[in-house]
Amino acid sequence: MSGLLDEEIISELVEIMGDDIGLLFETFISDSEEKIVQLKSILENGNGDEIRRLAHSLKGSSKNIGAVNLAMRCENLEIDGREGNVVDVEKVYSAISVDYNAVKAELQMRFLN
Amino acid sequence: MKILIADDNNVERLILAKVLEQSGHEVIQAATGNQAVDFYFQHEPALVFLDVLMPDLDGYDVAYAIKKKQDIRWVPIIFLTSLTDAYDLAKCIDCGGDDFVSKPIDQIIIKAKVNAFARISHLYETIDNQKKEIQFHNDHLIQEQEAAKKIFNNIAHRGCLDAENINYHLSPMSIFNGDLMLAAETPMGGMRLMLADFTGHGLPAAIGAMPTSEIFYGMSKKGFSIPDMMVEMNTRLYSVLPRGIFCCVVIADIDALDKRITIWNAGAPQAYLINQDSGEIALIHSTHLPLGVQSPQKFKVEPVVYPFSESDRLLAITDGIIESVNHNSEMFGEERMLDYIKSNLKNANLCDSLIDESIKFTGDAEQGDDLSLLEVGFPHHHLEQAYASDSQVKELTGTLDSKLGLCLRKISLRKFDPIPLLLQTLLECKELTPHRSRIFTILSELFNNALEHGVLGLDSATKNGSEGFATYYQQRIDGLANLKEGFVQIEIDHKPVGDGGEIIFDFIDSGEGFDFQKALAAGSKHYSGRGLPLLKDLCQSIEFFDDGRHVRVVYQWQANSE
Amino acid sequence: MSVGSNLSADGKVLTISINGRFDFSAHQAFRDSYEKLTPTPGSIVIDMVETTYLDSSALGMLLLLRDHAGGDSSSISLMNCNEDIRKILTISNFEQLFTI
Repeated sequence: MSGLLDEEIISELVEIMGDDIGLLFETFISDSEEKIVQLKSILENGNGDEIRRLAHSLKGSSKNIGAVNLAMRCENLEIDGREGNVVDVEKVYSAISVDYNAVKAELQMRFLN
Repeated sequence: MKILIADDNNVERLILAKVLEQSGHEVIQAATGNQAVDFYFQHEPALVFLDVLMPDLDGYDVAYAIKKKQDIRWVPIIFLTSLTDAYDLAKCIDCGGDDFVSKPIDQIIIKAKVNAFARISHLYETIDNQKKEIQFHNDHLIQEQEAAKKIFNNIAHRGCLDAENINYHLSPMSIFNGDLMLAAETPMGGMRLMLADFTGHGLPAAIGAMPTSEIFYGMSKKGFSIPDMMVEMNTRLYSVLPRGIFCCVVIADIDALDKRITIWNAGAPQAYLINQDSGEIALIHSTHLPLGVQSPQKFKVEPVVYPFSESDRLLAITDGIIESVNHNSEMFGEERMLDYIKSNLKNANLCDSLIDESIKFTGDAEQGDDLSLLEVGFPHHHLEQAYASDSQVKELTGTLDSKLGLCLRKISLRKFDPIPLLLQTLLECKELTPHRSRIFTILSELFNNALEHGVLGLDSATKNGSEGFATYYQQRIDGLANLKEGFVQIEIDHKPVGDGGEIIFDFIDSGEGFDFQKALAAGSKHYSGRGLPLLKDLCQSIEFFDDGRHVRVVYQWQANSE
Repeated sequence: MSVGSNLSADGKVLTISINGRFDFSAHQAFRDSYEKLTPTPGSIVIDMVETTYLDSSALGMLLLLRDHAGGDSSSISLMNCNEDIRKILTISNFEQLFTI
């Protein structure tokens, strides 16, 4: 699972959340699912500030659950959005959505039935 | 502890809530800024975590809304932030935040911060409780002082301080500064005044006021002299007051008939006897330790006597005005006081203008609350006033039908003033109450004549002028001290007659006698001192026997008539 | 304000010196300077050379000291009083109780 999830963070979360660990990841997936859909249309039509906000939010949740690669990609987009410097929209979106789907699959496999 | 978390990121909020719940805290979660403000006032948490960026109302605005309305409670606000810019972090604190933690959250740091703030909150709570307790005690104390003030004012009432010959300044709370001012009309038709200053402040200073004023009003009414009364006060205060609390006092008797003032200063700043015609100012210095210091065996009162008439007045002060300090740390002082009096001799109300002057000097009106001043002019003789309140007793009682005899010899003449005793005995007949001033005057004139002119052979002509006054009273003291032999024999025969009664006073002395026929014929004030015209006015008859060594006067009275 | 005290080598004379204003704030320090000494020294000297001012609570403290030192049989002298202080002591007739 190299780079997909930070195992140290995952085990800390398991310790903190106990039985509610499933609820946490369900929340992550349902929140993020929506954001990924939004991201597509914002990247196509929105301005830099809207991109920045959404990327910031997605970055926050990703960091919290230890999805380090996804978080890094979001952070880069957040910076580009702030600087109005977003290029190659298609490539950015597919990279984030691929990463997200991998994280989602991993979480579902390990923690959700 | 009840903790509010406001964060629009569900994942983050969920984790933080779990961390806090694990530590045993009660957590309330708000997903938007507006919800956070609502929940804050609804749930009254003890600590708040605020995300900076929220879609509707951001963290800064939430903090501002909370702190603006915050009550006496102190509720710390901790910002959750992924911001790293110093400007943004400082803004968290500027808008009312107390601390910030960076995201993603670290459970160890969160727990440590919550514990730290719990300690500080506890400290605030302790301080707040102590503040409430102090407030409670303070309110209680003020309430007690108000009640105490009422009690004190009933006992240490101001007597006749509102008479028109008196101006005074005394703050309503003066009792708690230890200042006391008393005034009473004496049975002789004059006035007795006292200004006292107990050391210290608050209740200890006020406590001595109770026995002091009880003695003042009790003994003054019965006609006791200043020395007798001060001995009693000192004895009482010496036994009541703890060592270290004492009472500085100026006391004065104004005799409106003989136009003289008897005055004594024990430990108080000099008092001023001011004659506005001649501009003469006599300074009455303290000649004794304050009351409550000297044991009764060693206590000795030697008042001085001065002439006192319509153009004279007495000004007595406590140390407040003398010790008022201005912005340059200079004291008002006695010199400034005397200068002011000298240049304002004709001022009708020195008391008020001195207060104004001292406020002008210090530039602080509040300091005026500590100042006590008493200014007394010549009183109207009140002997002719009705004692309406005393006339309710109807039955004939007590010593109405009695004969009283007393003979004072050498040693008793020196030490004992028989007038209060005689007066009290006569007044056991309650119907005589309205007559007590007249009877006091008769007793006092007869006894002083017998003692001073009879036994001691003093010439009252000596009394003319202020020098003579002092000389005369010195002669009286010396004469008594050196008295080889002598007596004054007194008989008082009281019989009922009709609705009232008749009192026959016989005073016999061991002196040389005097030419009473000449005195009676002259009927004038030229034969000074003996008060014969006054006795003739007051009594039905006056007769002399044995070359003037024996005088008999008859006083007749009617019930319920003035 | 400060209060200093010094006991002579033979323990018979206690000298208490008061620096600055002698008022209620000196209360505790003043008491401490003599209360703990047993036996009470036969003779006590209050040195006022550095004392600027004295108020009625100070007079009260002097009376307490006098009582402590045996009342009428005590021997207390007040030294180096300035003019203002002398005046206050005179008004209260304290020369009858203390050697000034």
